[in-house]
Amino acid sequence: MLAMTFIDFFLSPWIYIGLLAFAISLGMVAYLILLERKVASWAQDRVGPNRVGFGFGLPFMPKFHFWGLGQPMADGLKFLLKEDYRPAHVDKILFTLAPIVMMLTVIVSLVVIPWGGTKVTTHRIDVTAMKIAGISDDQILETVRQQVQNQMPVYHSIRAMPGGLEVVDADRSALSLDGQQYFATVVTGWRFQTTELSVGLLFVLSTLSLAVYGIVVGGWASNNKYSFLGALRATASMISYEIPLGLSVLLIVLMFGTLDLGAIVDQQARYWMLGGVVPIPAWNVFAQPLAFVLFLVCIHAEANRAPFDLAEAEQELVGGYHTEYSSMRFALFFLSEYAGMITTSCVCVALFFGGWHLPGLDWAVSKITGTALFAEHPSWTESLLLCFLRMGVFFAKAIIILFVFMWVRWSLPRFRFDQLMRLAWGGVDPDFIGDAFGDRGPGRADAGPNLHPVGRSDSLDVPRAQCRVRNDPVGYHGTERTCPEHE
Amino acid sequence: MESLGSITLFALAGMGLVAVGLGVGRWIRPRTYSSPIKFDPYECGESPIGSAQVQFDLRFYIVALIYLIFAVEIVLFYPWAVAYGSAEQIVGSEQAAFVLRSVALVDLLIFFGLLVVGFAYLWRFGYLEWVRTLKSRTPGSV
Repeated sequence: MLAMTFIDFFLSPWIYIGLLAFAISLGMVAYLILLERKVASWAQDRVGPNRVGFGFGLPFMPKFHFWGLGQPMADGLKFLLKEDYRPAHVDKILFTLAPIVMMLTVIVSLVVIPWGGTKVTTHRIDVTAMKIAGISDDQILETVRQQVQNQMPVYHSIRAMPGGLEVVDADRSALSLDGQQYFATVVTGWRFQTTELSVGLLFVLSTLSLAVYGIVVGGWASNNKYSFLGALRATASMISYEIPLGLSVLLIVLMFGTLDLGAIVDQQARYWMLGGVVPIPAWNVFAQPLAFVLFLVCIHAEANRAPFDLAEAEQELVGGYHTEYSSMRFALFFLSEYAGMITTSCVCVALFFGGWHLPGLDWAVSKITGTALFAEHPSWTESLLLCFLRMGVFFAKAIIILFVFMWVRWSLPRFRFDQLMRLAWGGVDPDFIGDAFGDRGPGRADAGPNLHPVGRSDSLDVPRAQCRVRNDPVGYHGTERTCPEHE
Repeated sequence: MESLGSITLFALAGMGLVAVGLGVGRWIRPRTYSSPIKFDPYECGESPIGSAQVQFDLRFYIVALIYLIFAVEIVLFYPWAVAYGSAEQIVGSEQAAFVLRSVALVDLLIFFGLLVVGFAYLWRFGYLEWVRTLKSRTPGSV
């Protein structure tokens, strides 16, 4: 494994899987923006963008509109052609660096997503001669394993594992002791995944939390009060919701005892018998529904999406942390938000919805192509086609989660900032931890959960207008600032 | 090794994408005259007063501090959870795994209990309240 050369590296399928996933994700990002606008228009009973086809008004191009499917390309072209100015008051290096950091972190976090189980190859080797020589079975298997491992490319032989000795009745009875022929089966394989990282889950969580640097650096470098406020809000909400996010994932780690996303998915590719009769897929969403709900809430907050989009609340902060950005630099922020949604949806699918597992798919493909199924290792398959189909299933599931993102965005109103923080620290966290102390403790009758739209500000004795200091950026944080604490 | 290579490759692909995006745009976009007004901070037409990089609200700082502690707690939870979940593979027998798990659970409850005390302190003294009145800051007043 250590002797892996440069050529070996570029021959291994991981790179091509990675590039494929990269390309699919980028295409998805472009069309997610269209989908978002379409979902918005369905929610608001409009038609939505349906005019832009692939002709772009050029001669000899189709005039048909293609239901607006050319919109993402037109948008991309527009981003490229827009004036790219950098305001005079910004920090020049950080201003450019921020969107790049944000884009890179979300892209890099895609590497550990397990797209399609393990592609295996079965080697069947005649070991009758060794058997005649009187070598023990274990030794034969070990020898054969070594032999196969030396033959296979480096990436392939990493998980060469002995299958077992198979006895076959043979005509050439002279060859063996008891008139039989012996075969050893050895299975080698590679994960249909960009990189096999044993700490994959931790890697995803940590790279996704790096995205907060993009926002905070962008907001700070913009040197604009709206941007700065947006960045502060985004940072506070993202780091607050990272705690419950980590805790909800912890449940899954406890169940499976591994941080390897691929292994977590593999163990969900089974069935539970409901009442001993009805098979239901062993997806974690059925085992840990509460963890799933917490996870879903937290990835909404992590993506700075409605109802947690305080960071770019248009009515209050113009655009939030990207107020000063234009053209391609803005596009990077915009695209990385969607790319981040794709990554978190993929993690969600891998953790809670069985990843690539679709009941019946493996069976159907093995029937059609005639490849073997491995009862003990449901993630193993000899068919590369099945791996690609599983990748499709994975993305289809991710799109359903992404649709939920959009559905939520156009259904729920935005939280107030104090409600957001209270939900993180006073709601989601203790809910999870097992709320030992009630949220209406003695003497704290005014501190209960306050998630209804009418805030407590009505009951405060100090009129709000008194504490509005002109150009005081912190005055925007909540509608309920009170004077005593300001002094 | 390979994982590092793949991650580097992915990062390079991302950088390439970013570079193409920023570079091609610079190349093909029309050179237009830009008004000097555009280089002012965008604050809805008001002339900005002072810099935006000011001292910000202490509450954000407190949130960051709390986050640090609990994030470290969660990072320490993960190896524990892996060991707990795979106790049988670690020690071999079911019985030994049960013992290991019990010990691990007690250890974690002590560790977690200490943090819960901290959390209770924060809760009681109102540090988790975003909107803090004078009343909620003085714990003595009932």
